[in-house]
Amino acid sequence: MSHELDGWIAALRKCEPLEEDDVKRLCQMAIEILVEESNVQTIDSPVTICGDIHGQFYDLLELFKVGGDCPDTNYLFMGDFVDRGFYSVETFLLLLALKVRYPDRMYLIRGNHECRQITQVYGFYDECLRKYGSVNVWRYCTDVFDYLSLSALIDNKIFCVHGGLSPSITTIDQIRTIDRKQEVPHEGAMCDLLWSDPEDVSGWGLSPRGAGYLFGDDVCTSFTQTNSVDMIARAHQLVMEGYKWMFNKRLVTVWSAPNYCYRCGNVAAILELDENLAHDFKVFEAAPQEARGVPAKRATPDYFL
Amino acid sequence: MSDALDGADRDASSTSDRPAASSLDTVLELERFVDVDDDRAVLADDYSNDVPGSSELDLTSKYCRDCHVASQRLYHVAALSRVCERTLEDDVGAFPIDLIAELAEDDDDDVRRSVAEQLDRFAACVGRLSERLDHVCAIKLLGVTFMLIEDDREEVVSAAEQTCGAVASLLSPEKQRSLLLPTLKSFSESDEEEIRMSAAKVLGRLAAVVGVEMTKSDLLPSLLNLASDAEYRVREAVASALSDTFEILDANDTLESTLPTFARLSRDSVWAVRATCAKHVVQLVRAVPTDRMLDVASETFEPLANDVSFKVRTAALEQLGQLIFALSSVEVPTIFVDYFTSMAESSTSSSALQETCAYNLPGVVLSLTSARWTELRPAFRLLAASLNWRVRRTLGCSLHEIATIIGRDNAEKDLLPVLESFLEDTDEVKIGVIEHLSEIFAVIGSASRLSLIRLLSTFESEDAEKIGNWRIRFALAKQILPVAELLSGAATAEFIVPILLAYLDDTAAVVREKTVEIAGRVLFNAARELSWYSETIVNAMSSIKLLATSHRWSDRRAYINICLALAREVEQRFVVDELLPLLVMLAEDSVAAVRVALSHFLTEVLRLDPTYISLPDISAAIIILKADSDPTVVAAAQSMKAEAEAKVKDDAAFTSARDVRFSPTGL
Amino acid sequence: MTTVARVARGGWDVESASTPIAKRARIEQVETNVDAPTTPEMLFDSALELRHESGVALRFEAEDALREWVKLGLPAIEVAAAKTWRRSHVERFGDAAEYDWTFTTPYGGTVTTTSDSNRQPPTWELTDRRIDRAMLTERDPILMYDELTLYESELDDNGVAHLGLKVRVMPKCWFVLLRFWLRVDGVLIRLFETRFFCDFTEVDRTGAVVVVRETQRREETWDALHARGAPCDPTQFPDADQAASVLLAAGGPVDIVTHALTIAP
Repeated sequence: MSHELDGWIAALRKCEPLEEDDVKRLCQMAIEILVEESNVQTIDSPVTICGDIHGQFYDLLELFKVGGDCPDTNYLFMGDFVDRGFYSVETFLLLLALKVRYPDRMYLIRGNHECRQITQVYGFYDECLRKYGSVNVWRYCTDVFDYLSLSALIDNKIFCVHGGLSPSITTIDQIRTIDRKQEVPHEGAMCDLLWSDPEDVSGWGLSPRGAGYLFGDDVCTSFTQTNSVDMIARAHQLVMEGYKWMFNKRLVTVWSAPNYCYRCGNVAAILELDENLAHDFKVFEAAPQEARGVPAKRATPDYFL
Repeated sequence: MSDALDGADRDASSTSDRPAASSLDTVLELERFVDVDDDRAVLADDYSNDVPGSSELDLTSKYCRDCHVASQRLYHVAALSRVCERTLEDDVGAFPIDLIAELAEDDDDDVRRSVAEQLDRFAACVGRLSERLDHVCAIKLLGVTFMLIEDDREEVVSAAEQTCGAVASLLSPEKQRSLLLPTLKSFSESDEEEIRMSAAKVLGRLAAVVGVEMTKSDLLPSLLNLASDAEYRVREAVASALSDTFEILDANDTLESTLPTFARLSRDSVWAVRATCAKHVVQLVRAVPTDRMLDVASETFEPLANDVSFKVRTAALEQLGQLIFALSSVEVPTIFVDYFTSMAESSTSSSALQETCAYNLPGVVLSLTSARWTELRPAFRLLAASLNWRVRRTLGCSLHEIATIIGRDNAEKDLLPVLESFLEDTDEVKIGVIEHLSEIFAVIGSASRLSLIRLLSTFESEDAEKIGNWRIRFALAKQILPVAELLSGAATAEFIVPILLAYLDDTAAVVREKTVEIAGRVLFNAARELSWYSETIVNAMSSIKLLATSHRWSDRRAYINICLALAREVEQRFVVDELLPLLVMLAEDSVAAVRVALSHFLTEVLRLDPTYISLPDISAAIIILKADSDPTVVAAAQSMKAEAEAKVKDDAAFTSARDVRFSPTGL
Repeated sequence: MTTVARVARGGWDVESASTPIAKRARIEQVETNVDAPTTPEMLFDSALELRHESGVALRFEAEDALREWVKLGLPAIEVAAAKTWRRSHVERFGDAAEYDWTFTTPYGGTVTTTSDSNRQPPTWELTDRRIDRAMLTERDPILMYDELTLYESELDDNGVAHLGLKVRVMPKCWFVLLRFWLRVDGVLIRLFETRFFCDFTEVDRTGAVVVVRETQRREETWDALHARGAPCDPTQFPDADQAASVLLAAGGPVDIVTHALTIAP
């Protein structure tokens, strides 16, 4: 089995999508592993924490060049593997294949884009249709999404989640009781963990959009104290500098998609934790044009009206 | 679980098989499911209506006809030829010619273009399936091809023009005569300019298919006729098509039948026609008899290179490198070299032309041989001084090739200064040079090597956090070993070792890993000359030993891997005295990856030299690793051959009367 | 990483600069300058400036656009999921910060003067003049073309708000299309288009050159589009061009307001 997996990994590293039948089998294998994982996956350091990738496959390869390959280095990816970039399929399948091949060296938790509704609007669905001529691959992958863990705890000291905290969750144990094997709901604890944002407010705030929470320093501090953790690592929000501390270094946002949407010009970051939880950020840029699959799009002169 | 993967739609409203909400959930009403947008779900075909037992081709044909999502339909149209190739074994009757004909008239431009692009594959399929020529499918396919050539859309037409040759090859000469020629003749007499253009292109393409005789008797006359067409775009197409015929006709025919027309077109009143001729001069020159090559080259090339139109001159010059290469069997006249030098001049040349010049330079140097290098030196210098980084980069990437051709003295005198300036140039230029550093080193002498190597010590790693341009450092890391092999031990110690040590600490993993790979050999080679006790080597070794106690696990692992490389070269005593103490300590390292590396180390050294097993520290380490808590470590440790142990015992018994090599551990 | 395009023609010096997104320090500076609680997460320092030889200049940049956003101060709308939220929410949480998170701006460019001029900048006046569409359809060579994004927000994965412009300079005229386009998934589409046109060959009796500005604002709710049988799936509105064509076909009648800027020599 590992021989076949190695073949898939080798193909995916060259940005070649797998055959539909292989995708089906890979997803089945992945589900068998993920179903055993807890909503709060325990991870031992050393480990390198990464934020959103959003289908930017060649930048994911840059990330591995900087942080080291898996399984030599242990990784935790905090969700949002798909949508917006051009290579959501190859990106997700590579991470999934690495997870199946090295289940103790690669950890994946769910982001708000790992769901059926959002992927139908923001690119993953269309990409699957274009590359496979059918919705099957999208179906297989979105079924895997349902099994992804919601959060991770590193050495019982660092809590990792895609979005943020939830007013329905005071203790980490409460997260363990959620039934996660479903489409991401529109509201509730599971939704909050994947959608909420830290903000300079006191206590909990309601997003101005009418849906979604904001949480402030006091909420964060109370959570870390109650759960005896040192800090919270999360992703979900674009950071020009790659990473951003908040709340007196009790919370950090890590963003791993450089030159987001191929035009923001931002850098990306990964957070390396050694076996003593000493942390080290590595900041990197997007892969240069020659290293990417498609030539850069230039604004072609247009007789617009 | 398996339901999900068989594509059954999730029923959004049913919660009967879900566990009851926990008490926590009663605080807030949780919705278990989000409605998957139903409208959207039916837009794309989910194959749930597939009739079981349908062949793959039936299914693909169905989707080509029935899918109403454009991107999905296009996928299946584009896959049609592959499906035919894969599934049609011997039944040419199953070939979907009617479907192809239908799709060739589809409203969707992308669909028609896809069909046009696959014509050659369809033709190959028909050819494989039917044993004889002129199968009805082939004939219908030809009809489809001609129809697509008359399409409104440019992309469809040009795709069909490209693939028509494959279709024509399915026909016998008789059928080619009776079906192809009349249609082509009527195309070439069409009132529509586009059709006559297509006729010209196709006439050229088919020369290879119909063979010399038919080309001479039928294709060429039509083509030569079109050369006098009133519309310049038709004449342009003829100029291109003529070069297709060069391949087929013999040298004398080319000279007599086509050259006069080609020459006339190269003096056409419209620049576009002349420019097209310029693009095909090299093919013409290659096609004529050898004793006429030079004349023909001069007569056609020179007027074009001096043309009043900038575009024509550029088109001609772009071919110059190839032209010189084609003439290498004859003595290339100085005038051509002068033209080449003019290309290198930025005041008269566009930067694209300068880039082409730089790109062709090695080939031209090879053609003229090192004896005539001085004639090319001005061009070289101009390119090296270009303000456009792309030109300098192209040149930088081929310096090693030029050096090899012109030899050491010329390289040292002329190339070296340029090389040195490129090493201080922008990243894109630097990296082109660095990637071939060792190849350049191989050509130049040791004094030059030293002066060059001094420049490299400036490639320090960036500060702790920013990765900077790791690609340059990686490129240099790859060159460290081959370069060190060409330097003296002293030079290696002075210049290479510092880079090595800096890169072992690099922020980018890939740079560190490459350096670890080669560090052992580099040190071993240097130490062989200078001895392990010389100052630089001792200092280097202590830096490396410090890795074993670094707080970074990747450093500790690096130490193990460097030791492995050294163990392959040095004597066991050295390993035992210098390296082993720190190694065995790592058997109890807190990080699994380190212990895995140690397991691999032990496996490898035991394979190289089974007597290691007799060292108590080694066997103790093995015992610890085999009982490790991490399964990956244990798996790596298991592969250590127990045979090694047995073998040593045997040897010891056999040679007990002789000096047995017994090394104390030195701990 | 700033790329610049520039051309001088007909008395105008047109320069566009395209930059990466702003860093935190710059974001905070803009928030202070325009007095806003936040900015779109993709705030660019890109800018287009058309400088006339008389010293008058027309400039387009994000900071001024955000200033107008703050001034306009539309009330916050709700996303589609808000209804579900309200059901299960208890009002024990504080009020949401009220601001127009769609970043809708009525921005119509900034009229300014170049540094070495001490004249008062002219103002926009209502006018009967129209943009010369015939001239715009001529396929003259394009001397300069650029597309810039001034700011963009993913609205926390609830849609997209985008303020961008396209500019082309032709031998006889220049033309700018400034577009604010908003899609809130499941709620509404909003498209504000402001077109700026200057014909260099036409100079009035006083020797002044005139810039014509035409503003069109369209907005449709999801429900209204659905009722009219128009597409109302977010994927059918991936960008402003698509949205514009759907709104053109299925939207209601729209007011067009035209102003002119007269630049004396």
